[in-house]
Amino acid sequence: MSWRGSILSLLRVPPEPEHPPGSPPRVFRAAPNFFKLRLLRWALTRLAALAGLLWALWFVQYLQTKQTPPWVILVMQLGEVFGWVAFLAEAVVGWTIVSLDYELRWYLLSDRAIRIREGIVTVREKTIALANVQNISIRQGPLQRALGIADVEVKTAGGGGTSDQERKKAGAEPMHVAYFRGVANPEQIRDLVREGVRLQKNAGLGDPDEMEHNDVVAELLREAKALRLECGSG
Amino acid sequence: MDVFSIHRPSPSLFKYYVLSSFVAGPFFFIPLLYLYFRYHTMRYDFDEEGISMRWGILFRREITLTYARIQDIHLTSNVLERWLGLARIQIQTASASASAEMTLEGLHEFEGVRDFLYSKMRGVRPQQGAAAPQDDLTAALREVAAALRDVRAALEKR
Repeated sequence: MSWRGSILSLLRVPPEPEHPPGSPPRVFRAAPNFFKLRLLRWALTRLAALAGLLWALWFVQYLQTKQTPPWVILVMQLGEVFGWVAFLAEAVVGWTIVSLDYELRWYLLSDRAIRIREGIVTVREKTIALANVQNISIRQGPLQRALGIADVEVKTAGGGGTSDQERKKAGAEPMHVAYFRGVANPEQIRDLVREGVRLQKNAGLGDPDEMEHNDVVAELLREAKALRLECGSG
Repeated sequence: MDVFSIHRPSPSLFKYYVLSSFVAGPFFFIPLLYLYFRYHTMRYDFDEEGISMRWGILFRREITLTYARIQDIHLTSNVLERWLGLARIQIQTASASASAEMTLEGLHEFEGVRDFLYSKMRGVRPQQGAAAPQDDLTAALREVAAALRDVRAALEKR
């Protein structure tokens, strides 16, 4: 456990996020299956890296049977050694980071705002006021479906330019969307967010405020009509 | 914390710029030159209505936005920034760009600034600003109704 602690302090990962504005928030977490899925994805990339390293090993052997200048072989072997060291280091650190990434992930929902904190190497904390939420959607891929988890997307107004350059500038993460990633109860979250949005006084973009003086206007109309009747009879 | 007194990013930002320009390897001086001038010309101005931020020496850029138009605020930091005690405050309005409209960099008191912006932004700020004119309107309509009633009463008497 101290190994994980030292990674946490080395990466200066901040502790639990502060509460968003509004009432004390409900806290949602990613489901354990989300961790399994991430682990699977990570294991697949490791397998791909392993395949690459093994192929390089074979390639060096192959070059030695041909007539290749010895310095090329040396450079290749140095590269190979470096690759293996990096691979082993990544195997240990990467596994820890995947599990930390699962544990240090908070989805907070208060009566005014959503705050989502995720990430270990790059820590991201997104906060969206419920009054600015435009739509909510649930996404589920086939693997997620098999594992019974889904992502809830909460969007605010504004574009996410789809050009690669803009996306890169934004850090590969659309800025007008917040994700509740890998949750086991997407419907519940969607309903709670919708309910929260409904309770906001002026949701959306520049909605006119609901008329709170309907009764006064009705009274005005009644008076005006009565006045007209009076004039008509007189 | 007094947000209005913030005008310059912290010197740690320059350290961060120097370190991050080494990503370009042997060509580190190209981003470094740009970032040097960016750091030295960067100014923030917080006032009652909004924030403005400007930088640049050849190509000057100035961004001004009002608190009331802020939509969401994100806080992002990578390892290097956290070592230097920094984070980027990315401020979004409802515009069509994928990147943040304004990124406040180099502030050690990022959480305080973020909370300050929250207290001012769209949808979170208490609604008394919106409620007052509503009450005025209701009162005015009541007065009009009362005036009409008086006119009718006067007509009836005639």
